[in-house]
Amino acid sequence: MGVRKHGWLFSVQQFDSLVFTPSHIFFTIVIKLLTFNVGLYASKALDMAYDIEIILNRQLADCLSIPVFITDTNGNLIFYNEPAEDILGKRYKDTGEMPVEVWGTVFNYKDDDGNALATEELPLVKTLKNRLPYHKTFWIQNLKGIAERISVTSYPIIGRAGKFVGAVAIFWRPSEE
Amino acid sequence: MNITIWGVRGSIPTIGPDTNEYGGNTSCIEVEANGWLLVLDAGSGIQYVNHSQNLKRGRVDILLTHLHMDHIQGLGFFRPLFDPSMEVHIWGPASNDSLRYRLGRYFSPPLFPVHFRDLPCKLTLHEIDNSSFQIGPFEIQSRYVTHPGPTIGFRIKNEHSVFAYIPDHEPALGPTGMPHDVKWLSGSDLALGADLLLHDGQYTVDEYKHRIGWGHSSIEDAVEFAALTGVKRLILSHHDPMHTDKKLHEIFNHLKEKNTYPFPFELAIEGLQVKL
Ligand SMILES: [Zn+2]
Ligand SMILES: [Zn+2]
Repeated sequence: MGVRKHGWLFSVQQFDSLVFTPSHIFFTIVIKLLTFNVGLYASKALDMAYDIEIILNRQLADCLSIPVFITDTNGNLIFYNEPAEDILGKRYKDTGEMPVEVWGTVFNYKDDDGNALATEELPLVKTLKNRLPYHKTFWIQNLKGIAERISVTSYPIIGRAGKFVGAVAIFWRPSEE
Repeated sequence: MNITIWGVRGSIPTIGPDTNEYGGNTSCIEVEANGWLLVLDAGSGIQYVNHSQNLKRGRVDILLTHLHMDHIQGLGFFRPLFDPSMEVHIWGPASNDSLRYRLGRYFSPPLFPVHFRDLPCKLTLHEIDNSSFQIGPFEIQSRYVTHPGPTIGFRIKNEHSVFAYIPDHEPALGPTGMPHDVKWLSGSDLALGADLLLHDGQYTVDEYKHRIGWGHSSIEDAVEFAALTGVKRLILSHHDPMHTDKKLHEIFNHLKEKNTYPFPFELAIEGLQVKL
């Protein structure tokens, strides 16, 4: 049983790990309380900041004129750059980070024949699942109903310590390929 | 926690009449509590630790932030390494090659006459990354930070206080400078709320403009980093080798005039002792 079996970006298998049990909710509340008080948080936990590999990927994305989306290992969108704002139809300064269940519903994916694309075939979904880079060209339709043919290249962020810390998806207009 | 600063200089030792006041030795800090001794980095300042009363315990732990020359050049002249009765632990950042191999390039002719394997002390090497570990009374956390090559900073905590040590660090690297959201700020979890932060402050603002990507901070950025992370006291170190005592005075006076932060900040001076 999953939270969003029909989600755009994630396979059913991945959603199966996102079941909200009472203990999940309890821990979420505890984490919110801890993060509310910086001093208390400092004494309780060290992993407040993103890994350096994520931070540097964001800094790089900030310098690029191609749309870049950065997610954590669960697919939550933790950063998108200005060119990506045009594709998403939203501004990062307005939305901040976006949970997978929110940003995963923004797009509608189709193949060249107009058939809906299975989420398991999307490069970012595959990267998050297999921790490998992928590339695919397909059609997306955003909330405004605008359809566009797009190529997506995704790669995993695997840091120096060999730790998988997130993923990056770069959207290319095929004319840019 | 008793902290003594033995090396304040970045890049290359600059010992002479123009640097007498602040000091010219490269990075090295002695940290002692309950008879346990940590040595943070092994720049040329480590020669003063040779005379430390705190070496009596028979064990010393050397924590290396990275293996740039100004952080290891004193290692071969650290006497406990040549004392068979001493237990020496060296902790350093993991990389593709082992720590033993990388330090072995220094401990081998023609750079150094003694091979690593021939050091008579009881030597143990520890490779760390985003790690948590305990040495005596110290709870220590290491995290990778923005600096060329594998480089970590340390957060050292005992029952009384927290000392954060990030001597080589460029948190402002990027198109928009220092991120104000601490979640996106390199090193912020090491420094958060620390009683004392010793941080890279190698350049003036103007110098930094010409050295972006070199891995260091302007003094102004370092102070802003400390403000963002809520530290209680800041010591700026890793002084540029070109900065004489006179220049450092000028830089610091200018900094004081321009900034009113709610925490004390100062420039590192060799021999300075801090009790936390
Ligand atoms: Zn250095
Ligand atoms: Zn360095």
